[in-house]
Amino acid sequence: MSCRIELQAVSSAPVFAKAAATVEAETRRIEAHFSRYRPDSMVSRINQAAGKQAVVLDAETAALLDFADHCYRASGGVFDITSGALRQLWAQAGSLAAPLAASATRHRLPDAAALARVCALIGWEKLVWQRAHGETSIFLPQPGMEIDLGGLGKEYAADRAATLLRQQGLSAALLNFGGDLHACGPWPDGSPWQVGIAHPRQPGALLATLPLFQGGLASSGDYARCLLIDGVRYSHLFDPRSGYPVRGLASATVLADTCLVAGALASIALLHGAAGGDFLASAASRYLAVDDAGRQWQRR
Amino acid sequence: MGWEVAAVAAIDSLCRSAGAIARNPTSVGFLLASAALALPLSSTPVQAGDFSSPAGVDAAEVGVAYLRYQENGRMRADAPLLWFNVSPDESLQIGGSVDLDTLSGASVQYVSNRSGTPVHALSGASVNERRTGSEVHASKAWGEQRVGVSVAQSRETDYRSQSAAIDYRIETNARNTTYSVGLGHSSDEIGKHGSPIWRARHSQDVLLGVTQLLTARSLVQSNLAYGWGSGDYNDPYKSTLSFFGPGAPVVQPDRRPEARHHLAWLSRYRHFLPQINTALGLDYRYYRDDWGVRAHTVELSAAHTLENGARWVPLLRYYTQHAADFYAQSFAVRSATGSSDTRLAAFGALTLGLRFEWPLTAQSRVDLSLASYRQRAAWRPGGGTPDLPRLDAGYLMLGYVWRF
Repeated sequence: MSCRIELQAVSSAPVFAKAAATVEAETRRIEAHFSRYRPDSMVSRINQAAGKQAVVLDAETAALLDFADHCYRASGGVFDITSGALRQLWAQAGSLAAPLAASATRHRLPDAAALARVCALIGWEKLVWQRAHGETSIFLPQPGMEIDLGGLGKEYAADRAATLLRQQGLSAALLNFGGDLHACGPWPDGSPWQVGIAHPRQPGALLATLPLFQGGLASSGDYARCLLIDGVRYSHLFDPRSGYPVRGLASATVLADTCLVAGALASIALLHGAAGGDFLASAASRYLAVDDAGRQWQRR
Repeated sequence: MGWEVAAVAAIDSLCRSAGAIARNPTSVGFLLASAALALPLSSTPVQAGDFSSPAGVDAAEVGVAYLRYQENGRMRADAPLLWFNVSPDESLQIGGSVDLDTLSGASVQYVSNRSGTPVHALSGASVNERRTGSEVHASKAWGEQRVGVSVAQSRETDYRSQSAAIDYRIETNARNTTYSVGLGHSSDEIGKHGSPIWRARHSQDVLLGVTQLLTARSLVQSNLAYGWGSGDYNDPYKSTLSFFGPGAPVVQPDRRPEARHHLAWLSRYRHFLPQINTALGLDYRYYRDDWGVRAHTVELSAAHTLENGARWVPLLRYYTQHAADFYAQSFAVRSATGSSDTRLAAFGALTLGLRFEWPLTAQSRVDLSLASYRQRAAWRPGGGTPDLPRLDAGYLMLGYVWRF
């Protein structure tokens, strides 16, 4: 999962120990099942079969890919989990790193031919779905095509862990999966968890503090991982239509019933670039977005 | 590059309500939320138990507070107080408190109509009373059930009280409904300065309650309490002097019935508005006893939580009371029961209060409560006891809480 996972709960020590064990076990299960870095995960098996054969999906993977399909349609095609290949291409031009890291001085633009080759491998609408005998299978038609759940896997893990903790009766708990949060419920006296939103341009400072009673809170931005090209900051999200990383919004934070929906809306907002704030105004219940110039969009 | 916060871009100013956007069938948020339903995830309603007193708080809480109550020109009470709450495990909770009250000022000893209208005369001797009180309680939970016990005692030079109570609570209906039952007993001994005689009084209370979650953000609670007691209820320091023409007055010492039965019904409604982080509250309480006292209380409150976790709670309370049957400001003849204690009169009262909680660190908090109380006979619909003196009082509580 390559991120720090934190559980905060108001409970006794034995209940907390059981909750922590549950969170760890479920996170490992999801990682083993969905991580593209595990050769025997569902995602890796789908990618390795690209251009060769269809792969039958279990119910959980089918539902998650169906969710990705809804994200693709709702975002007008910019949220596309087949655009993972772009990341590697740009990574060859220099690593995606934190802006203050010594290595992130300058990235080079990849050459046009390489970009065109990779763009040919991208496109959610190119995937072939088959449904027969109650089973769903997916086929990536060209070798080199791949799907990458990216942040969706982390957000899904946060939601699954929260579901299991609620089933155990724990309600005053907050899960933090590397910045993707899910609160099972508020503090016993009804007061909310106070979540600090990092300022995208002032390291260590807070942009705002948002109260979270229950549900998911996810952020997307260009400050943790980004590309610096000719002094201009680009985010780590790529527009599949152009092949270029997007810029425009510095940070978007969304609150929703699940971390999956919150994270999807935050990523889609960033993918809309400068129009991300307007997208959130019509799409999300509670959000906070900021662009390069410091302009804010919010509904608290 | 400057970071000025410009005006918020409000595209959907007509749809300010968070719910409207989320429920709009064409909104992207709604579409994605529907898609997520296919996944094995659950969202949860808030449960009725979550609104009740903080059960299952791990670690300990200790608080100190200072209370000051002041009446206009009359009584004043200062009370430092220390309390604690600890949860050795999720199902067990123990707490207690100790307080030391100092009552000073002048207390009404005589009511006299010598001037033509009733006048509450101060005895000239000032009151300087010290009261110590302590209380311990513990509760244990088994699944959806919880049992609690508490004992309390209070001591002054001329008054002693011991009480004990037990309560039982059960959550049902997927923790949306909580039923509670309580029983209490109190034994008091009333003495008088300068007199070796102590009189006794015993009372019992039964309480039945239900808390029902209506939606994920609102609940209603209703409690019915019935109490009965017998013994000495008189105030040994008070009497009424009634003058009718020249000659000696009729002296009526404070005499009340030797038994009292009372009923109280409390209902509250709480509604949480997430858009403004505020919980609105409406309380109504009805009281009646067999001394003829009947009272209604209506209270409005709004608990608002700020971004840093601070909370402020303004409240407004309106109270009206019907006088006890044996209450009067003058007595033509001395009778078996009669009292001029203004607390048994007919009047209306308004309380305006503000409570403020401010977290200092992750583990400490400052609480401040202020209230202003005003009591007037004329504020009771239909009028109150004529010539009842007005009462203005103020209350302040400053507290500091540590969690660890």
